[in-house]
Amino acid sequence: MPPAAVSTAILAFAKEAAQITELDDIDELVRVYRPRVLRYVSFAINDMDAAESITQDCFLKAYNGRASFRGDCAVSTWLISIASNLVRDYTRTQKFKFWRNVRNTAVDVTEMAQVIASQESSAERGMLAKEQVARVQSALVDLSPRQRSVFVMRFMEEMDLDEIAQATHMPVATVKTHLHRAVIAIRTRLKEGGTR
Amino acid sequence: MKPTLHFAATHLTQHLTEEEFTDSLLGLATQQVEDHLASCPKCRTEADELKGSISSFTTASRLWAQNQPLVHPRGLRMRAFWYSARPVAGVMAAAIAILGVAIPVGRAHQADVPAELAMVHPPAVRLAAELATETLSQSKPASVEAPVHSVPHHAIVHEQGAVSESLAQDNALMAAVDAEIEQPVSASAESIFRSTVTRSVTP
Repeated sequence: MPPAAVSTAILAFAKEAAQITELDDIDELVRVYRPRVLRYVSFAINDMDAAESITQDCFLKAYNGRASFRGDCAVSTWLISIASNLVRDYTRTQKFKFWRNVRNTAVDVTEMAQVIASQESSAERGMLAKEQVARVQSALVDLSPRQRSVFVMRFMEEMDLDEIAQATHMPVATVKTHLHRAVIAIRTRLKEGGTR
Repeated sequence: MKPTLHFAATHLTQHLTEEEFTDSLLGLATQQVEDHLASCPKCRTEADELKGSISSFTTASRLWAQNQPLVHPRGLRMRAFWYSARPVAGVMAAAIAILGVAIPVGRAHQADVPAELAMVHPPAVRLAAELATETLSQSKPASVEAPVHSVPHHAIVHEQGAVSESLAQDNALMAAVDAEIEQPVSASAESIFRSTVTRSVTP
C-alpha cells in the first residue's frame, strides 16, 4: 500500500474516531450543534415552542443512535437529517390539527431584523436589511413544508444538493424542483415589495 | 458558428428565464448564463437584490440562533439516561415477574402442595395457612413453637379435604339425576305428556 493511501486511511480513521467521541458527550454535542439544528427546525416549521421540543428530541435520538452513525457524512448533516425526519413527522400530524394557531409562537422577525440592522453602518442600509429580512421571512411562511425545508438547508445551512438529498431522502432532481419553486416564490414576493 | 451566434444574440436581447435565474442563485448556472448576467444590468441588479435579501436573512437567522438562550441540558441528560436504561429496566421487570412466579411455586413445593393449587388459589392457601396458624397457636402452649413448614402443610390438607368433600357431593347429585333420567316412563305419565304436547301444538 503506498504511503499516501496509508496516511489517508489513518486520517479517515482518526476523523471517524473523533466523531464517535464527539457523539459520546451529549453536552458538547448540544453546545456545538444546537444553534444550527434549532435554526433549521425553527424556520422549517415556524413554531418556536415545537422547534425547541423537536431540537431536544433530535439530540436525544442522535445520542441514543450514535452507534448507527457510520461517519460517511458530517455530524451536522447527520443531525439535520434526523431533524428533517422529525420535522416531517411533526408536519404530518399538524396537517390534521386544523385548530392550531402557528403564528402565536412563530419566530420573531422583528428581533432578527433588529439584530441585522444594528450591524449595518448607515441607518438607511439598516432599514433596507430589516425590510429584506421581513420579506424573506414572510415569503418563507407561505412555502410548502418541503420547499421551506430544502430552502433553509440550501441557503441557511449551506448544504449542497447531494447533502440535502441525503438528509431528506429525496432524489436530487426533486430537491432541485423544490428549490426552484421556493426561489421563484420568494423572488415574486420580493418583487411585490412584501405586500400581502 | 451560426447557432452560437444566434444563441448569443438571443441572450443579448432576452433576459434570463426563471429557471436560469434560480440556477444562477444555486450556483448551477452555465457559462452562457453567467455571461448574460455580466452583460445585462437589469438581470444582474435583480440577482444581486435577491442574493442580498437571502444573505441578510441568513445572517440574521444565524445571529438569532446564537443568541437563543441555551436550555440547560440536564433534562436532556435525564431523558438520555432513562432511554439508555430501558434495557436494564426491562431485565429488572422480567426478573420481578419470574420471582413473582417462582416464590409461590417454591413455597408450595416446600409445603408439599401441588403447584397448580398454589398458583390458582394463592389467597385461599394463604387464608387457610393463617387460620391453621391461629388454631395451632391457641391449641399449643406458648413455649412450644410449631415448625414453620408444618403450618402450611396442615392448612393445605384441610383445604384439599374441603375440596374433595364438595366434589363428592356434586358427584352424588349428578348420579341421582342420571338414575332418575334412566328410569322407564310410566304409562300415566306418558299419556299426560302426550296430551300436553297435542294441546300446545293445536292452534
